[in-house]
Amino acid sequence: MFDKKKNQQETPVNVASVTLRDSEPVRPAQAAMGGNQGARPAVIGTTIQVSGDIVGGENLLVEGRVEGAIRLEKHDLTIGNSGQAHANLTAKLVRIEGEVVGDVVGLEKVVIASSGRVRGNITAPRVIIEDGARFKGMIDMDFEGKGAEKPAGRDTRRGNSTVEDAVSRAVS
Amino acid sequence: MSATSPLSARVDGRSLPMQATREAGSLLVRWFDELRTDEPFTVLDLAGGMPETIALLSDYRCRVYCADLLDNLCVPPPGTDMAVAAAVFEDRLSFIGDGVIDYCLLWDYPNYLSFDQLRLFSRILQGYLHLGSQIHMFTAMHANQDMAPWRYSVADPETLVRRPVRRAMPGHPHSQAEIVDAMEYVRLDRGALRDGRVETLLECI
Repeated sequence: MFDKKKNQQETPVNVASVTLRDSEPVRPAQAAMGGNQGARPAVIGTTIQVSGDIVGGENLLVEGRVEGAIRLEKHDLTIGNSGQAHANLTAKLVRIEGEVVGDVVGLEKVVIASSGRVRGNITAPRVIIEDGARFKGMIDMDFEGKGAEKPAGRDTRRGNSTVEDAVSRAVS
Repeated sequence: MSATSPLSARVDGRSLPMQATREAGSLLVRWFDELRTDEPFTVLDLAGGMPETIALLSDYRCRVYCADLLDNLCVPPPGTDMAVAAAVFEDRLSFIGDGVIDYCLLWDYPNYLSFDQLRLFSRILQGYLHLGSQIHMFTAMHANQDMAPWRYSVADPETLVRRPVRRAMPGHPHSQAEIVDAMEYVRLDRGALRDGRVETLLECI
C-alpha cells in the first residue's frame, strides 16, 4: 500500500555520451567504495536509467540501470546491489554486486561479489569471484599478454564435428 | 581425508553438508606440476566459476571458460530426441567460440547423462579439444554407486573444495571403461579412489 518504489519516478536519460567531472555529495553508504585514494564515487541512483556511453575521470557507483558502455580507465567502477548494466565496462577496478550483461575489462582487477550476476567475458590480470556469485562466460587473465607463446599444436582442434555429425555418430 | 560441516541438508533423500568441505589430495597436482606461469593455457570448468578455482588460476596466464551445467541443468530428459539433445549441448558450449581447450574440468557432469547422451556430449565437446587435451572427471566404482551431487572447485593443487548441489540430479554413474567407450578419442591416464568415486584423468589421443 505504501510501497515507496511505486511512488518513485524513474528518470530515463537518453544520451549519446555522458562525461563525469565532479562528484555529487554522497550518502555514507556510498562512500564505502574502495580504490582510488578513498575518493567518493559519482553515483547513478536507483531510479536513474542511462542509455548511452559513460566516460569518466573519477570513481563511479551504479545503482540504477545503464545500457551502453562505461569507460573509467584510471578509476574504479562499482555496479551496486541494485545496479544493472547491459553494457561493456572498462575500469581500473571493477566490482560487481548487481547484474551485468556484457564484457568487463578490469585493468587491475575484477571482483564479482556474492550477490553479483555476470553474463559475458571478463578480461583482467586478477579476478575474484565470491561464494554465491553467478557467472557465465570466459575469463581472460593475461592470456594474450607479452611473454611466452602457447606451445605449437594447442591451437588445432582435435575434431570439427558438426552437430549433425555428432548425432549421427552418437546413435550409430 | 575430508573435513565435513555438521550442518546438513537433505537432497534427493540424502543428507549433505550445507557448507563447503575440503578434501586433501587430488590428481590435479599432476596438471599443476606441468603448468608454467608464463605459458598461456585454457580451461573449461563445467562447475561454473567457483571462487577457489578462479583465485588459483589467477596466478597463471590463462583463459577460463565457465559454464555452470548444474544450476542451469543441462541434462535432457530421458527420451529426448538426440538432435534436440545435441542442440542443447551445443548451445551450452557455443560460448567457447573459436577457443581450444587445454584442460577440461568435467567433474561429475558425465554421471548425470545417460550413456547415449554422454556419447553425444563428448562428440560435441571434442570439437573444442586438441590432441593432448587433458580431461578431469569422476567415475564410479560400480553402476549402482550412490553419487551425491557436488559442485567442485580447486583450492590448491592438492585440495579440492566441494559444495552440495541443492537439487536432485539424475544418476547414471559410469565406470572408467564406459567413459572410455563413450569418449572414443581419449585414453585413460590415471585414476585414484576418492570418496567412493574414482577421480579420473583422461588425455585426448
